[in-house]
Amino acid sequence: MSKQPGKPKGILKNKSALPSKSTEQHTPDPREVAIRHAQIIHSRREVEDQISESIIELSKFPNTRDSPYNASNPAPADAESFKDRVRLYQPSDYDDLIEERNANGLCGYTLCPNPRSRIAGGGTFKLVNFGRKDFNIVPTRELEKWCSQKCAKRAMYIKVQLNETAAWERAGIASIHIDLFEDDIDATTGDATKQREKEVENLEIEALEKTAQNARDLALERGDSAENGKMPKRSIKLTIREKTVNAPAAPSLDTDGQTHLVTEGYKTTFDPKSETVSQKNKSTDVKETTPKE
Amino acid sequence: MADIENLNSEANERSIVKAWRAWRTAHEMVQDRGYELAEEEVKISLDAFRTQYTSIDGTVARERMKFSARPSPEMLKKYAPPATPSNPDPQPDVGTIWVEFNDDTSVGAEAMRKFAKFCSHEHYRTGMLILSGNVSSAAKKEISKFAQWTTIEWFLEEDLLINITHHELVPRHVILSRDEKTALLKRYRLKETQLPRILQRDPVAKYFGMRRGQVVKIIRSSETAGRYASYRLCV
Repeated sequence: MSKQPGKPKGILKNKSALPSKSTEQHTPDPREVAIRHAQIIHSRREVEDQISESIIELSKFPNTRDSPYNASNPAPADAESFKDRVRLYQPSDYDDLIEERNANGLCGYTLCPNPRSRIAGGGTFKLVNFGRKDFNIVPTRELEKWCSQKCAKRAMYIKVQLNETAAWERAGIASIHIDLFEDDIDATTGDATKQREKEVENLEIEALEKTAQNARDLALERGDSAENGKMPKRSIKLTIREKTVNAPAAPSLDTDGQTHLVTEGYKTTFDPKSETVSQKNKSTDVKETTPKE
Repeated sequence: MADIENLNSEANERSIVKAWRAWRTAHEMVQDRGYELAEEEVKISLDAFRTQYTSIDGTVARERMKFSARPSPEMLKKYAPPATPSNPDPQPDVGTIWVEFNDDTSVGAEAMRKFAKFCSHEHYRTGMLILSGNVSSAAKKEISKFAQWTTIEWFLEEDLLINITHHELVPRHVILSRDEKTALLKRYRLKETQLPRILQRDPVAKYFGMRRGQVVKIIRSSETAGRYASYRLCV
């Protein structure tokens, strides 16, 4: 059709050629796609179920309520399982857990064996720390969540470490750790060093990654094509030709003993005719010359 | 000493009256939805209630306050999906209802799960929980997990002290069946979305247990027209 001179040629791409090409190249099987997406949704649901399951379980914690263990010194097994489960929580899930524990009549902090406090008398608000600097008016509902202010602090310490991103995105990341709030100073310093160690470790890993990336970039710049994942050896012939070097002559000590007068290679000379210099000479000259005359 | 006893019995009496009123409203609600209940069950007198549902010490035995009801034939017909050639005898999506009272101060996820499991295990299509305390948010999430097997509804006892549909400012609500709904849409040449809406959490919609997509006909008395009907789509 384009051969006919009168007819203008369309600028659009040939329609028949395009879709057939794409369909030939990759036709994702709709069934496979559907199954893949269903599996993704399924795994998300599983994580959600796991979380709601663990909320019910944690709402009855701690399992060991014997005398040596309390909120500040929980049983290691309880603390471990708590940390392991709360890892996946979003802050809202954690709020649910607190609510759930309160529904069971327990303090909101998971590792605390005490019952929640009940404030006598009605009223939606309560004055705390009356007559002190940190005086505040707090809803009674908030106060009744915990057995004590310390437990509130411990619980909030956990909450601020939680992440807003969806649980299924974090499920596979092993590096997410939740730390418990430590009361004693020794423990906190130990914690701080541990924290620092972790930071340094992370830094080192980052540096390693960066050097590897730099090396790759450089290789690309040199024109090395990384094929099949390994670096091919470059075939460049190298011959090292030594250049004859004329070394500068070593400085020798001056023989005439005048070197101390030289400043930067220049030796000051005195004008014999100048008055200040020739004064002495003159007198001697005079001495010498007078007997002659 | 006698004063304290007197106070106690007074508080008990008040709590008995409250429970009785909630019990009656719950029965009326179940009856208004179309389930079969005997008239003497619904209109139980306070004395009869007291003899049946109080324990020896004079307090209300809420753990004994539970009942079930079967849907009436009209209700089954109303909730049956329209017959199609492939499915000539469709099953209605309503079944026996189970109503239970609970006097816990707050209901956690575990209690809710237990109730939902009980309802789905006993093949109750609807489970109704009437509570004195609130429901935790984790427990609310449990409800949706069992939606496939059983519909869980919950009411606060204090909300059922009076029957809101008997109030003079609440007009008559009639839930339309699927056939009536299609007829209405055809008659006015409407799409579903062009109808005014009513929320599922609307007190009256909750009272009738409306589901998303159902249409309710609201009949108001009008000074000029005598009666005025309007329609709402439940969202």
